[in-house]
Amino acid sequence: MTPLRAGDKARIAMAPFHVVIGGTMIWQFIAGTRTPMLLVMGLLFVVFGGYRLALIRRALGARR
Amino acid sequence: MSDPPSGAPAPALPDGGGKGTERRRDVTVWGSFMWGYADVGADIYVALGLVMAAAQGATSLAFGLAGLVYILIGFGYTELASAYPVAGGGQYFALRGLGDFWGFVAGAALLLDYTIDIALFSVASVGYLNFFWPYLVGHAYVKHPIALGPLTLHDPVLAFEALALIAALIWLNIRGIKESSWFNAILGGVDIATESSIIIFGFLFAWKPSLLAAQWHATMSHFSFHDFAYGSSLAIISFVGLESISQAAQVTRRPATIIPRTSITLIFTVFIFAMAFSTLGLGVMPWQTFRDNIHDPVAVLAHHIPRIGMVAGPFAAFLGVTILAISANSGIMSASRLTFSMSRLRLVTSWLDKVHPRRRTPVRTIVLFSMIGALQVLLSAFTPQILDTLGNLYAFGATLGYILVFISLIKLRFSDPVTPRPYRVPLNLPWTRKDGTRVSLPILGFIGLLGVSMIFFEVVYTHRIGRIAGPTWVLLCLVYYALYRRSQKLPIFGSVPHDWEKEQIEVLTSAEEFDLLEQYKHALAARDRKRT
Repeated sequence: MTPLRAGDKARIAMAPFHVVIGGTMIWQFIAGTRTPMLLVMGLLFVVFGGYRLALIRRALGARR
Repeated sequence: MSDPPSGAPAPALPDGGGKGTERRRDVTVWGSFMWGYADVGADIYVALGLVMAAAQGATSLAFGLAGLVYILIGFGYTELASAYPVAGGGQYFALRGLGDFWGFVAGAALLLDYTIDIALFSVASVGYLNFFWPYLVGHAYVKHPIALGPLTLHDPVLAFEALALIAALIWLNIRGIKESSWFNAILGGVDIATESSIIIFGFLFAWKPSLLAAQWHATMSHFSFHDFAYGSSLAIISFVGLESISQAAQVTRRPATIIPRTSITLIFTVFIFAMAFSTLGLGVMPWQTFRDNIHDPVAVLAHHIPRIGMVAGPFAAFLGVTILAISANSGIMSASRLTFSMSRLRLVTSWLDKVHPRRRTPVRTIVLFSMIGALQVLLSAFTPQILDTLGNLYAFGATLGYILVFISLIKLRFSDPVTPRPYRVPLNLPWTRKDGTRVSLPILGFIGLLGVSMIFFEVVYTHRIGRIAGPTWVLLCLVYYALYRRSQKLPIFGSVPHDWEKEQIEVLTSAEEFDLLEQYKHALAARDRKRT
């Protein structure tokens, strides 16, 4: 089994944070700060975090 | 180039300078980048308000156009500074490419910029200091004009504060302050982090594209070419300071490896910041707010950002005070470096090189150029906008110097094709001359020359003070040059014979660029074989 590099470990650890940060931004937008970049960046963060989480899920599945 | 004799300008060298000889150091990529950033990065603190007041809703376009020209200028400087790593910068390149006379003209233009550096950044620094006026005095800063006969001193408090800062800088420099690259690196790092935070938080929480679009439409519906030309020519001042690339190259070991990386990163960092601040600014506040706060635009912008504004505003103002004061100080240091280079090349008297016997600092250049800077502050205080007037002059000196640098870049491709160029301006057209010499024509060099000439035209067309005071400065310098060269029995329009090949070998040897040195010697030998 190939050992994980430090960079990969960091990417795995950061994946849920992307979703959390993105979710917070979208929530802020809904709560009243109607600046479009907040929504755009929030969505981008959530999508990117979700993509990373999907990759991790797939890799874990392949490992089993 | 051989080491300068004892008596070299002491404060002109960061760390380790001041011992009479310029020694090359292991300046890291980060250190070299920060050296330049401390110079160029401060410009946006001044330019944002000035350009907003002129270009209004089209400010981003003005910054974009000036920025494209600046990128080309940066490419040119990178090529020349890595091929000729000496501190003279534009003046040295012009002298090497076009001869003594044009070298002096470039030097005069740069000296004008360095003295304005002292004046403009001192005024800007205390302008940011006045951001704290309401906290200290309890009400907003207000101008108190004083009538002096037919003239009016429009902002005596600001002028007095700037003069006090210049006096402090003179005192510090005479005592032998050292420009610490560590201090520059830390301050530059904090500045980049702060500016990035302002931009990120600003775009996220405060930027309204509808406001940006409304301001754009309002400006375009009654577009004034004069105002836009004025704004875009002022925008070039947010990119002035590329001479620092040459100054870093002078004292960096292996500059051919370090300089291209750092200068290209520097060029794009500054460009991105300028574009981001102008676009952010127009989407957060009306341009009139910037015009009304022309002395501290970045702090006011930071102050308007929700969540971080209460802290970011004063912090950006504090950073503005510091980084602009350092920029003003770098004007004093750069003037010393440049006059040393010019006197070594017999363009100005060596009287200016004399150093204080005990402190080893070039007292004469420090006092002379700082006093010229102080005079500029005083004179511009009689105009309605001190910053605007100084910005006028700054743009004139910079564009004139850059035109000569571009011409030198093109000329040196022909007259000195053998010098190895670790970095070349992209997009070249290979061409074989009649004598068999292969030359590559810099297409972007020609485009850059055209671009900077257009900005120079805008400066002359729109800057009422710059178009008179700038050429007057150059003419006065030329009168001095003619008198000096005549007294030394040297040609005025001709050049003193220089052994450039010997000098280039010495420069590359002192820079420890041994690979390039080998390449250079091989190229010289091949050229000599072809000649015989």
